[in-house]
Amino acid sequence: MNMLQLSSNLLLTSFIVYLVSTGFFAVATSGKKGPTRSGKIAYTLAIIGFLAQLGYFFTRWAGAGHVPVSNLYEYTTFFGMMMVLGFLIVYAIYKNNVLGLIAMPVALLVIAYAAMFPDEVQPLIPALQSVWLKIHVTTAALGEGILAVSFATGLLYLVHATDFNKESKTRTWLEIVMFSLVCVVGYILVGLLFKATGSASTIEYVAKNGAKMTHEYTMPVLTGPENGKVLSGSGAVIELPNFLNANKVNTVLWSVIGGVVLYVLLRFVVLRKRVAESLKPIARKIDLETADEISYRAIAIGLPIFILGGLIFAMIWAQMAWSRYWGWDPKEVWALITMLFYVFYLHMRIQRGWIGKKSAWLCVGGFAVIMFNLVFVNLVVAGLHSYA
Amino acid sequence: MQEQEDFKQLDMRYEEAELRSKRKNPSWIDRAWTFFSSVKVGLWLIGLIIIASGIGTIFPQEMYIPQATPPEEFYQKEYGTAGDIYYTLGFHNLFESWWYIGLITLLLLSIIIVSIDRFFPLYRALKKQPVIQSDRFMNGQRFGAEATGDVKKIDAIAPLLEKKGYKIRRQDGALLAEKQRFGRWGPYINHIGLVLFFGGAMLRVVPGMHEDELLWLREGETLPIEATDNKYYLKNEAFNIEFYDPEKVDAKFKKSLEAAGGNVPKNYDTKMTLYKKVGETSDFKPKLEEIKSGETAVNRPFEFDDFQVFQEQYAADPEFKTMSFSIVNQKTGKVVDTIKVDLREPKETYKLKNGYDVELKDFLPDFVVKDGQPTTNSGRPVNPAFVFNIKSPEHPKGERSLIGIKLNVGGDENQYKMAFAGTELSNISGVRIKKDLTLPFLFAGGIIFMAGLLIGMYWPHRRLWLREKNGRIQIAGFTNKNALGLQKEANLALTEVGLPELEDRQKLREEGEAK
Ligand code: HEM
Repeated sequence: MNMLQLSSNLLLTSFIVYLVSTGFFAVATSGKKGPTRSGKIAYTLAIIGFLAQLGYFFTRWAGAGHVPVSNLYEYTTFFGMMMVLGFLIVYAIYKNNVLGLIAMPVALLVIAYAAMFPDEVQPLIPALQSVWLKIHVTTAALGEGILAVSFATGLLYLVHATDFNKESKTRTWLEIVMFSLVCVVGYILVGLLFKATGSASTIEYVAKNGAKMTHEYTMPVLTGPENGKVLSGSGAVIELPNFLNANKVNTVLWSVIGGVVLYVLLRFVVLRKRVAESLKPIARKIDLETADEISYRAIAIGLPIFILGGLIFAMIWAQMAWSRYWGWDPKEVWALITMLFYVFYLHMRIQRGWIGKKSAWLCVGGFAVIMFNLVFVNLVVAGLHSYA
Repeated sequence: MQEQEDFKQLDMRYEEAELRSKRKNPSWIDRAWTFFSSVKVGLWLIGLIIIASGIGTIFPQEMYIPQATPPEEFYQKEYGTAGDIYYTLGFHNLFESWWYIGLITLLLLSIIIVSIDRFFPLYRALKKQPVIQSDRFMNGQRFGAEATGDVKKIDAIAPLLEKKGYKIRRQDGALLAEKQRFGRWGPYINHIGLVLFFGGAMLRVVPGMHEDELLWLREGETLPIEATDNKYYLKNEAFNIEFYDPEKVDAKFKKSLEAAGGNVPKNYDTKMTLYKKVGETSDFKPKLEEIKSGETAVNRPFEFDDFQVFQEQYAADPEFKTMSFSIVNQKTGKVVDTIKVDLREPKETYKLKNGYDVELKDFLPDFVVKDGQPTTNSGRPVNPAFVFNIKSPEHPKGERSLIGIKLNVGGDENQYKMAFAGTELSNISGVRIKKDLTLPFLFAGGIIFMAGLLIGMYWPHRRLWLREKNGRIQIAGFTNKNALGLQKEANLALTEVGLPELEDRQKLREEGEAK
């Protein structure tokens, strides 16, 4: 077995161990509060899973010959791993099982999402051949991973503090957050389904500058380019103007369709109540004070690390590779927005008394900004960054 | 429990010191001061900057669009009406707009003023802290406890706290234990770092602090560097580019390279020599002295004085550097001789063997026919054409012909013709020459900012007050971060001397309210 194969086996192992660990966290929270035996088992499993994933990381490093953080697949997997690390650190301080029941599934979701991208190793273009690449990307991802913990606790806080029997904005927005998460699951399931059924199509079209381009679809084609010529597979149901990337729109559409189906199933068949509400019995087990405190600490620890990696090291590298430390590239701008958003949070909290519910909403919003930078800026807004 | 439900925590942010911004009867300076030191205003500014920055990423900024299309067309053509609006509102240059820079400037002003407003009162208050505090103060702290006991217990706890790193002060039996006061300065340090960083970035406008020039250098070419006032010259000795070869590369990379359709560069670099101008020759050409030679590659700039030379780009299509021609006698088919024309410095005549001469009557680097006349489109040798006059013993006045790529006018009827005998290509390397004396400021600002951030976030300021009054011991605790940490640390010491653990009065109140 070569290194790369070993590496993907280790990743799969860690994924499964994380799943089992989540199961144990579920058992741990079904009982009484505080540390329990199943809680300890769950935490140990999470550590084992993390070690396996660390194994994935280093074997892939050895196999590829460079740090595996240079494309979307590798970066997203690494980000998932850092979320787990962030959780492990916070758990070590607060020993809270409920947190595991939210943080681990979200990390699992991120890792599964990574599996949607092509996983071949790529040789590095010259700009990426730098130690600062390793330092910048790993530190930034670690910071984001720790910040993500505050999303988990923020969510728990909100679910705990919300009365689901009464109509309220919080109730509505919480459900929107849950729906977005369900859409990610939908995207992954739909992706896996079409991979299995093999629904590939290729459509050729003429781009703005007159060049002939092709879209390679992996999902059945709903939206296609204007005047597209079907080279293989099926044609489009709707043609879109060419400034929209018909292939990406198609993927988004399918994810939403998958998400809606899944959501309706959950809401009306499986749970028979609001998805957020179904988390209430879990959320009730963490008291509001603690949830609020953990959120704040996760940000207090995560933000300096993120700023160091995502902005300062990034600037040092940009100065060496592109001769300018800052260039208003969308990815850079969104890293700045991430920082400003959390700075906003800190000041609101300390200076204007935004504690509790408002503060929890900001934690959720911060994670939305991070995910926006990871998903949307990479996929939709093209920039200099290699994984665009 | 009654007591706890009434609990109102004291605002300890500035130790109850008076801030200039909170003065009554303000003058207009006070008013401006109050405005900028208002955190509300600062947060509005941050919010606006977040929104503006987000807008700036909806469509690419002008600097990232293809240079071939003028921006007023590009946005309209590429993104329709929305693009047109984006362009009309000036969002294509958002980050250089006066209002965006204005927002950042106001933010900096706000950070400076707020820091001054709060630092001095806080500093004075912390400096002259009394050991014995009022009941109001003790009961107003978030953490506290009370129990019966005498001063002996306080005496006993002092060394325990000292061991944990607290500084102890005593007065009439009462105790103040304090640690990591410097943690309170974290925000001020990071605000200073931030100001230094942005101030440094703004120094760019000072003449001489910042130079930036993109220089296109052909292989073998030497050009003056304008950014050095033409004191230095740079020669491109050789440009080298290497692509990943899908055939030769390691098997594991094959699939991704095929998906990328080849042309993934592996490395590109320019070997160069730096010259200094030391005077002029009699024909006004610069006299150059070699200073150093070396290489620039991506991530590895070439350096001299305060300058760095970055390998930034290369031209996708190399230019012709030389073209060789053979002079052929069409009757005998014999080659008389061969000449090599350097396209950058073509000669007027080329002397050949046996009394043959070739005159270069006209050179058109970028040949086109306009209105029936041969002419040149640009100075770049991308489609060169030549008007030659071949002088031979048989034709002392010469025979003319126009030769170019797939072009031969008049050549066929002549006795002698010019035939292509090969070309040499030259690569063009785009190097960026940069001097930035503001970088040390940015670096210092960045380090100070990070230091302040870490100090503020990881070193919480902790204090414990103990005092004995009428046979009871009052305990109060303060921390600005990490409540759990304070409780753990304090409780260990408190229980060891038989005192009760700290209560979180805030939490007790909330639980009381909930019931
Ligand atoms: C990008 C800009 C800024 C950054 C990165 C920044 C950073 C920080 C940080 C990290 C803290 C410590 C927070 C904590 O301990 O949780 C802080 C505190 C503070 N900031 Fe800022 N800040 C910024 C802008 C501002 C602005 C615009 C204002 C007001 C107009 C402001 C006012 C304050 C105040 C009053 C404190 C509390 C100081 C204290 O605790 O004594 N900051 N800042």
